[in-house]
Amino acid sequence: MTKPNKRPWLKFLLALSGALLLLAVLAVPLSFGESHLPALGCFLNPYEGALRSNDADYWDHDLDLPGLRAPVDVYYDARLVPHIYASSLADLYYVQGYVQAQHRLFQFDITARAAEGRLSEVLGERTRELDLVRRRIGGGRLADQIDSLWKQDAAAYEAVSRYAEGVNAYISQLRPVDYPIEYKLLDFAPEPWSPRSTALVAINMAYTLNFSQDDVANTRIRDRFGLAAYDFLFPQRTDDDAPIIPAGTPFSAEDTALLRAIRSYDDRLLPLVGDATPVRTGLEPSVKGIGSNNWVVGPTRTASGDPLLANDPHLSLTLPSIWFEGELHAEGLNVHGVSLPGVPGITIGFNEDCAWGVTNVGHDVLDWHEVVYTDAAKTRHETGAGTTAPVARRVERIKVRGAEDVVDSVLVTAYGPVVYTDTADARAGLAMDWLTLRQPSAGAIRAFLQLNTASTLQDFIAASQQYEWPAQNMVFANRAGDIALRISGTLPRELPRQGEFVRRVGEPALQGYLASDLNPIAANPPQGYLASANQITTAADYPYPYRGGFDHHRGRRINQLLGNTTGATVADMKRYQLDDYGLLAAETAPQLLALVDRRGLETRALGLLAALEPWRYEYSAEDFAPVIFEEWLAEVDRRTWDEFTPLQRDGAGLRPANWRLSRLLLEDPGSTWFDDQTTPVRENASAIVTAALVAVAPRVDSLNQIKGYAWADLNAPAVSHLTRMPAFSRTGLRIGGRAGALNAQTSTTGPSWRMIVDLSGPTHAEVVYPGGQSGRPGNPHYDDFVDVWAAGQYFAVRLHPREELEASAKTFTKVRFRP
Amino acid sequence: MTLSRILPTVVFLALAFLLLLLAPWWVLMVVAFAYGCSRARVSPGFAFWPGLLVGALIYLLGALWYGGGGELPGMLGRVFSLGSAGGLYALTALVGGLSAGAFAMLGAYARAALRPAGVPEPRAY
Repeated sequence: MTKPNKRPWLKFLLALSGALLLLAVLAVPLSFGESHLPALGCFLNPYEGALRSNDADYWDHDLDLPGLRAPVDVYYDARLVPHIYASSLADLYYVQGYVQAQHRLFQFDITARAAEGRLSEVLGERTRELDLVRRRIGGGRLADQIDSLWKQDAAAYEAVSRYAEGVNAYISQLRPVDYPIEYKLLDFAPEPWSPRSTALVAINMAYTLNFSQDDVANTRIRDRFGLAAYDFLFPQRTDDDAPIIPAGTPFSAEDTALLRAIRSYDDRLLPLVGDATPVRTGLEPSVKGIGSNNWVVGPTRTASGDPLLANDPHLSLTLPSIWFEGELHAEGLNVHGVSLPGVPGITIGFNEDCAWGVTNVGHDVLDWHEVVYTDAAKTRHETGAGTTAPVARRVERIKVRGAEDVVDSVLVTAYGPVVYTDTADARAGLAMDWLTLRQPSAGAIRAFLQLNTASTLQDFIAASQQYEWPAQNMVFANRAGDIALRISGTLPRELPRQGEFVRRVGEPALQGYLASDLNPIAANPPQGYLASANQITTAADYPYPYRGGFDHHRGRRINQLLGNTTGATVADMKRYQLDDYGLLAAETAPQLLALVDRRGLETRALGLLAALEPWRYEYSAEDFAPVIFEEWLAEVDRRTWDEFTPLQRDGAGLRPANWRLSRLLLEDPGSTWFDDQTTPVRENASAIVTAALVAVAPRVDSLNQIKGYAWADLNAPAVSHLTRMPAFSRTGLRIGGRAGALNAQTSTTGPSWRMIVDLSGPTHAEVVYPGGQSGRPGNPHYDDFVDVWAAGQYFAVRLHPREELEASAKTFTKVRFRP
Repeated sequence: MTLSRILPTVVFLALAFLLLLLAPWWVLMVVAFAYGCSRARVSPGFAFWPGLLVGALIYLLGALWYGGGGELPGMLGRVFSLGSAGGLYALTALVGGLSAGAFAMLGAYARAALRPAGVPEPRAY
């Protein structure tokens, strides 16, 4: 039976409308505010969409790479660590680029974009402000300059250019269906790589390590409280310092002209005009917890009679990790360690003869200059008494996904670019004078490539002298029994306090840079060990001025441990890297407990005191006592430094360190700093400590009532995906440690690569990092190291002769790259 | 149900699967449309259901093949606030099913619209 065919075209048109609507919904990327969804038709199609991004075995077959000059073999171990064997360095770096891109392509892309100020092209408006600042600073121009410098250095340029060719060989073979999931989610395609892109990765590291900008805050505090108070609250040197270069270490060279200038320098301090700046929030706050530990133990203190070297850089913990592990073999080069994805060679690691590691020096190399324009059109600015300089302009166009392009006209003065122009910003109208911009560097790559083949102490010194920025405390040990620690990098040649405050027009300009043989170095010291943990570089006997954001707690702790260690073993080194002991807590908690006035305290507060008293200052993941201490100390800090609150509401905020508070509680409990500005009476330390406990007791006690709540819940360590997408991140980790402990764990930063190298016998090491070799979410190797790392365990590694890997076919997966 | 009634749907399924391995995602809609056009004895409304079934089945099997056993489907489920891998599989099947169903129905309506005047509209089986 059939029905009459009534109004068929109308029905067809209705069906067509519905089908086209569905097609449009599936074919077009959708936006909801700042959130973007990819076109779901392609994304959810299992045959070309998201789920095809995760073929675990996509790397597991031989490949033809026309760019190669000879076959290269790559043996993957069970952790997906590539062991690359090439017959030339040119082929080695080519395949290193290819392999790293295979596993970390999105990370390459996003890191380079971040440094250049191009994130908004893919992430939209949420990164527009960051891009604007980075464009004004001029990361892209700096990368161009570095690229030009590399071209004048055959070895460095071969490494970066062959590496880039390898990356591009991978990208060219990549079909859209194979793109990592992030490209599909964000709906964009990989761009070709170049040596310039590698320079951008290096610049990104400079932003992380070399971008401290406290001048405006320093100036405000000095102008508000006076220089004496400023020096008391923010001393560069303290009684507790344990300098990286041990006191008494001789300095081999002398800059007599600078020493003469220092002696005759009239310390002119001029106040910043117009300090009554309004507030601004949210502009690139510095990441707390960035720092590192490294140390070397000489033959006199080890059980084996050969050195031990340990390093754990504390950086942002991300998925994929900031590091990629690998082993490289070619032309006498045999090295194992980690590198930054996007950079050839090994950055931290060991070879047959030696090992090396790095921590951040942390000297202040970014200054702000007052800019006084001579005319309303801002065509020139004053540079001194009667002298002026032209103001250059460059136009930056920032593409913003889902919004109009931002066109920005950047003013570039003789001191550097004017980065902040918003008048609500304390830095508005100031010019940024950043060492990284002033001195484009080709040296970092050269230094690390030389370290890869180093053997002797002289090799180490020669390599580290090549290094320019961001300055690093490089430790070294070799099988000959040498240990050394050198402050490596360009150090400003400064007069006292130069660059500590906003520099006024007419103040003396920077004196250039110290000659590299003036960089402090200690080698084979009588104490038998050397260590750095971002504390002050030298004792007061070092004659050249510098300043930085130093903290001595970790440095003192590791010196304490190493100083008491003889017959050191790898197990000792592990114990030290995992040490949760809080020296600040050990020095402060007894003061809090002694000062608190228990009369009239309610039951909850008394209960917290009872719980805190037996604490032995270990920040253990499952202990509640650190929660009490940290919450209490934070409240005492807030109440003590209440004078700073009005100065702190914008991007230029700064507070005295916890060390200052701890010493004040101990040495001067009647200090006026303890006075609460909002009350008519004058409080002392006891009153503040007691009031702080009363204030936090209800909240802390309620946390204590939550079953199982402990330090790991408050500290909340996480390893977040680069895009911060929770689904691709690891949260809820039960890890101890604290920023000031050797196990320097915060919610977002921590030990990004733990390495302990034993130079006895064939060089071998114990290593781990919080991540996995694959950058592809969902891949079995995406985060397989995280739990191992969180448990405080390590992987044993050593250099492998190729024949051994050939004979271990079941353990290693071989991939042959053919020309 | 006779073989002659099932066979076109089986052919539709096989063709759609093969073409999806080679061509972009919208090829499913093209094949579904062709399937709808070819079903002379099926009412347009009823053509939707085999389309839905075939599309959902192809997408679900593909998703299980490429994503099964891995962690990515679960992660994507959380990205889309679907809770788990099951949520992602359900969404995937829904998208495949709706795509194929809608275009199968459109094909059937197109055939009906092109039918000469006076020729009665087919009814469902």
